[in-house]
Amino acid sequence: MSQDRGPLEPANDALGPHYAYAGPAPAPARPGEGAGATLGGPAAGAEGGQGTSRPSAGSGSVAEVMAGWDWASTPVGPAQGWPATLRTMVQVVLASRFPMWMGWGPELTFFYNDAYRRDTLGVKHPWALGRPAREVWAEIWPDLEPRVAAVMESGSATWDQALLLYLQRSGYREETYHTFSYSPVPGPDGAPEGLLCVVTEETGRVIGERRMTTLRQLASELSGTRTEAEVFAAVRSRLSQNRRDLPFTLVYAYDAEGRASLVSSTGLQLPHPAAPEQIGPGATEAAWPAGVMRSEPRLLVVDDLRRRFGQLPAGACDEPPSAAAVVPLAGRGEGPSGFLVAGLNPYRAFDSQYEGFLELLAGQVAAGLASARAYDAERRRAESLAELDRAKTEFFSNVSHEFRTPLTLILGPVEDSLNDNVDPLPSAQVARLEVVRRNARRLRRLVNDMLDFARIEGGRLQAETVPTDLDALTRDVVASFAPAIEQADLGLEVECAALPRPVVVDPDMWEKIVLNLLSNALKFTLEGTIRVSLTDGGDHVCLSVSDTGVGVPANQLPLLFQRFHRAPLSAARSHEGTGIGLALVHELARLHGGTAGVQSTEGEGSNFWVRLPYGERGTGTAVPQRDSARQAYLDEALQWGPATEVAPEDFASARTAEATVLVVDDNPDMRAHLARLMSPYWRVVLAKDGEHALALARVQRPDLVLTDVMMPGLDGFGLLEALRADRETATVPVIFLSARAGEEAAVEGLEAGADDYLVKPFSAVELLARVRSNLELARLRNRDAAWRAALVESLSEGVAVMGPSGTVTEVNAAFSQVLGYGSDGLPYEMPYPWFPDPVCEPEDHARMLAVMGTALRHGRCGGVVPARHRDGRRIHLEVSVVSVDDEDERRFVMAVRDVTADLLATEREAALARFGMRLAEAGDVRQVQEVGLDELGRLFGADAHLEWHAAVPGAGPSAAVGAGESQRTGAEAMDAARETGRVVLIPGAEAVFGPDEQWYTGMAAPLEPAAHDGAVWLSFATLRRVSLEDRALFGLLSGYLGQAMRRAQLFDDSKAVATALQRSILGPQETPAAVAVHYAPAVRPLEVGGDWYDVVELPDGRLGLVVGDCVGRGLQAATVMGQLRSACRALLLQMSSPAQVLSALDTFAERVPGAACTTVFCGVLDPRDDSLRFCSAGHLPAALVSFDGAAKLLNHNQSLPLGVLPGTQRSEAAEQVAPGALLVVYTDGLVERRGETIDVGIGRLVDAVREARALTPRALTLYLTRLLVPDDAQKDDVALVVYRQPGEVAAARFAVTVEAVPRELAGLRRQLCAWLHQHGVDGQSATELLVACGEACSNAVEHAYPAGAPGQLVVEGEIEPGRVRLRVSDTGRWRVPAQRGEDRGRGLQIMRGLTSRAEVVGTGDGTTVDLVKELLVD
Amino acid sequence: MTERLAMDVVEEPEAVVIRLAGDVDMTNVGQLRATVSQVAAGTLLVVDVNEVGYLDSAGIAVLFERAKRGRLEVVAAPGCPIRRVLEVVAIGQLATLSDSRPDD
Repeated sequence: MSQDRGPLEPANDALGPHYAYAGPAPAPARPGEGAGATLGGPAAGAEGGQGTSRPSAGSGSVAEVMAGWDWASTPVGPAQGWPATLRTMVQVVLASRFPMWMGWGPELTFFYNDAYRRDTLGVKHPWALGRPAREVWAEIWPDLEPRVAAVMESGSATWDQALLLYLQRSGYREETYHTFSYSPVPGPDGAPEGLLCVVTEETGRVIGERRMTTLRQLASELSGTRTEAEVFAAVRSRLSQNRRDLPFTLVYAYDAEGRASLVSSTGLQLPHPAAPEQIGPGATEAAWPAGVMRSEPRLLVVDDLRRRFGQLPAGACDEPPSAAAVVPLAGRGEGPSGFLVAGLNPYRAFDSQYEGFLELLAGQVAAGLASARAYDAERRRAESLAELDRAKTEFFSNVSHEFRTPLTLILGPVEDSLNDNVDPLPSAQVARLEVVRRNARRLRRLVNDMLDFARIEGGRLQAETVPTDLDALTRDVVASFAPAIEQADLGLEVECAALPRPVVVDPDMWEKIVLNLLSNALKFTLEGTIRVSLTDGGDHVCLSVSDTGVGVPANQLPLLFQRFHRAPLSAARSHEGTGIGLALVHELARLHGGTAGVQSTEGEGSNFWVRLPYGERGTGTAVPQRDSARQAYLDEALQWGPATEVAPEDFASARTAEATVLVVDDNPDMRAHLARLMSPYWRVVLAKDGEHALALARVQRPDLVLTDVMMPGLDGFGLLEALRADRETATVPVIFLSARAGEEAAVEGLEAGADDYLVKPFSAVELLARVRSNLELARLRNRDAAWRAALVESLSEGVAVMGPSGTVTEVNAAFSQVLGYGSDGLPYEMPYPWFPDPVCEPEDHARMLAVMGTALRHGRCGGVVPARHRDGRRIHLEVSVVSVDDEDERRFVMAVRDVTADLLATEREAALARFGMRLAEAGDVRQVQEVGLDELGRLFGADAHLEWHAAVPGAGPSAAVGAGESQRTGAEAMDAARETGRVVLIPGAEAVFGPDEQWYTGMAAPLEPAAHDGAVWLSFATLRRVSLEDRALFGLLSGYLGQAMRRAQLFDDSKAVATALQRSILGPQETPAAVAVHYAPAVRPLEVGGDWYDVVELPDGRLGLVVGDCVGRGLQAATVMGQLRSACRALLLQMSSPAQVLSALDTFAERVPGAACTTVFCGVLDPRDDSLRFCSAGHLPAALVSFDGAAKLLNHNQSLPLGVLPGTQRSEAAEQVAPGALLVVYTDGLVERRGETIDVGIGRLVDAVREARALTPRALTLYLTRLLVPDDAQKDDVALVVYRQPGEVAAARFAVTVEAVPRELAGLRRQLCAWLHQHGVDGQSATELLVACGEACSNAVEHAYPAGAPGQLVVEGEIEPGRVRLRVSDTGRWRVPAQRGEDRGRGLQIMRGLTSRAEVVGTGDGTTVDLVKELLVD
Repeated sequence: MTERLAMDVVEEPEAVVIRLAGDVDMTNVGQLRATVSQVAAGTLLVVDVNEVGYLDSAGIAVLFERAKRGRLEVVAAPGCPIRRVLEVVAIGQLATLSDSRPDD
């Protein structure tokens, strides 16, 4: 099928004409038809390239395309018909990787390969295949044709190297360079049939080289530029050389306001609308985007040039550029310094390489511009510096002139005065004037130096040179300066060898050179040697002045010879000097055509040298030496005198004032002057520099320091700082003396802490006034502070001052004594070192913290707190804190007092008191022990145990010691304490809590150290510390306890003795069964009183009964009683008649004091006839009550008490005592009661006996005493004897039968009760019997006859002396109730509990309960 | 015939107090039992027997019943006739046997 090959239609756009393939894509040929068979390779679809640039990479290879191409429509015809040469050639071309094209046939049908297509053909593939060559390269055919023709006709090849060709292969007219060769392809007949072109493209290389050249040349030309103008000129020249890449260029520079001005243009004829002179900062319609460039600097392409500016010059091309690039020129700092506008080559695409080139270009231009500007700035600065320099010199020169006149007028008269021999001056004035002269001369020298210098500067100074014997001159000069060097204790070595010939110099100048160098050397050499040497160096002489001084730092070396430069050297004899000395030396040397220089090593020394040429001819005439500068130099040097001063005692002796003033100044004259001024008033101490002053200040403690500010080494400011930093010198007033005038300087000094500031020169009056006032102020301040400090120190309480956060800043001596922490450890921060340890003593620590915290918060607090002394002791402090507002700060004052001893003493006192009190309350040994151990335990928080080996049995049993380990330890400790007589501590086995602290589980102490008989052991509840005080207290208390126990023991012993003694005078405790006695003395704790009883067993079975009552009560009566009783007993045993006994007793009683009026009853019972014979001596009547209830008072034979009528015969009575009858003999204590007659009481007694006559004698005595003498009512001694006549006696009987029903029970009880009462059974016994019996009856009622037919219940009773029997019987069945678990079982329990014997006997016929109750009273 | 038992019951804030007077035997123990059983177990029952002349196992049983069920205090002065009876049956093991009341 045929391909529709439309013509290529040129398209036009901004880039110029280019070609776009406008036809449809060629269709693939049918298999076998196309050239595929010939050419091989698969038929592939050819894709038409359409684009505006190079062929797309996606298209198939040329061979493939060719294979599918319709060759039939080409001049060469179908592939099958191709001649062999053509085929071969095609294959050759296709196979080659070098770009090639071939034209075949008269039309030069176009064949080409992949490489060619890629490099050169571009968009024309595949359209170009098979086209006539002239069509393919129509645009350059005019260039090609001649070559083609040459080849085709002549058969010779052509060669072209880097030929410029404008190709249309990328869619625009492109500037390209190719190196190619056309060679003929012979046909069969040898004539060229075709044309082979082998071509390489050189475009990139050529263009690149071109651009590179531009850059290189520009760079090289820029390197030589200095000014902006030069820069732009270079730019212009270079850029205009490359018209192809840069058809036109414009460079704009921004000024400060952002206005862009045109500084360079190439390629345009000015004026031109595309190149405005200026573009304002805000211009929006500007030719170029200056504003954008400035604010957002980046490369911009402006591509509408024609629209903007119309036609532009074409440059090297035919076409004018249609686009331009605007590139910012980077400046230093913010923003670009300008921008470059470069027209773009219309025949090249603006690719990255082009862009890069322009940027490099811009960079170079920018750099050049920047450095030009920098250079400019630099130059301007140098100019202004030079200007400044000149101005300084001129100024000095002017001023110096002004100085000279007054100086002359000073020096002149002064010299005259000093040299006046006619009217000489007093020595004081001479001294002053010498100072004046010296300093005036110095001033003059300075002025001269400066003037010289100025003149040199101005070129007005000429050296008046003469040939000079230089070495002689030099030696001369050195010699004249030597005294100063000697005075300074430095060595001087001179090596001025004779020179071969004279040197042409200006002698004055040479002098100055030498003197200056010497003076410098001396100034900066504190010890060692100065060496001067003059040597011949062939065509020059060399003067060298070297020293072993401080040297010059390396960085100062280049500056030394500069005018006004003063090296900041650390040590020098004087800090004075203008700094022009060396500069002068340098200039003077230079004037002679010579040089000056220095070598120096810091710290080792320096060597200054001057080299002068020998010179040819002098310019001056030999003039006599003018007024030389030697004297002035020498004078000045001498002033820097030795370290030792003019003796201060010259000034010290004159005065009597107390204050000391320290004067510091490096100028000796000034020192002397000040000293002279002030010494009349105060003691003056001098120091020559800051270091010296500081040392003196620390030792001498001046009251004021007057110091120069500018000094070598430690200057005034430094001295001030050092003084203030040291506590000792911090408050000393400091006055600055300075040459720096002006408010600023003064303020600086005052702000640095100086107390005053004086400017030199000062008036003496002003100086004195200021010194005086400052001293006064300081004295006032110090006095207050000293007073305050003394006050605080004097307090006996510890006082500490604390800052707002509680930090202790001051303490007095007492404080450090109390706590062990003194002022050398200040400041003390919270928590203070004397706080209790937070780990071992958390409670104490917390307490201390709480107290201090409250104090700091509320400004006030106090209390007793525990603390730790520095030596580790635990102490108690009474602390009181108050707050004090000190200006704007709150501070606290804390007072501490050691109350440890007080506290402990108080505690101990309290413990002792309490202990003693409790012990005193205790009665016997056992009580004492109990109380003592309890108190000890409480006091020490322990279990207390005691061991006592007392001699007295039954006293103080030792408490059981706990079992186990503690027991052994406790017992061991007690043994140890007992044996050693000391307190023994039992250490705890657990970890020790702190260094030097042992914790204990217990301790033991002896009860009585000397007695070794007992010990107390405390077993602590928890492990605890034991202080010395604790131990002492424990020992003390244990001793107390031991003593108390011993005392109680003694008391118990004596009490036992007393009791025994008393018992011994009492009647017998044991009596026959028929007799019961009761005895109770009135006075407790006595066991005896005035009453007595006695029961005497007489022969023949008779029984004697005696009851007596002495007058009174208590011990007194008891002693009487004892005697009477004994006597009576003896008498009874002797005589059987009671009357006789009492009569004899009368006699006896006479002789016993207090025995008179004793009443006695004496009776003798005879069992053989049941008789009682008795006699009474005024005693209460005995009562006789028979078993049946009949009662009788034995009133017979009342007679007088004992001793009332001695010698009177007494009579006796007799009475029958039936068996079972009771005889009751008593004393009035039993019956007498206030408010009633004795008879009432006796009657009461008799009634009571009757009521309880069935009781045993013993029970009866108890009954009677309980009833008649309640314990608390006993006022008198009581003695009671109850006797029952033994023998058979008829028992009382009772028998009742009732129906065994509940309703009968009450009545039965009543009857029984009445019977019991009637027969002398006392109430309590009766009740018990009733309940027991009633229980038995109830049982019978309840259980005996369950079947419903009630039976009978029989109750029988019998009363005998001392016993009651009851029998309850029924004829029914009675189950014996179980003892446990049933309430009824209680019945038996009750019966048994209330009686002496209860027996239940149950038979088939009935049950019988037998109850027996012995009538005892317990 | 049946003895009438004198019972004086007073309700106090903290307790119920029964003052007995007379004899307590099987014939009239029912009264006592009835009154005693009305007192709640949690309430303290105080039985004052100082005026009681006769008390046997019948009455004792009521006291024991009460003592097992609830709180009981028996007031009997040392001189009280039936004090000994109460001691013999060991009422003190289950109830409080006191000599007197605080406000007596």
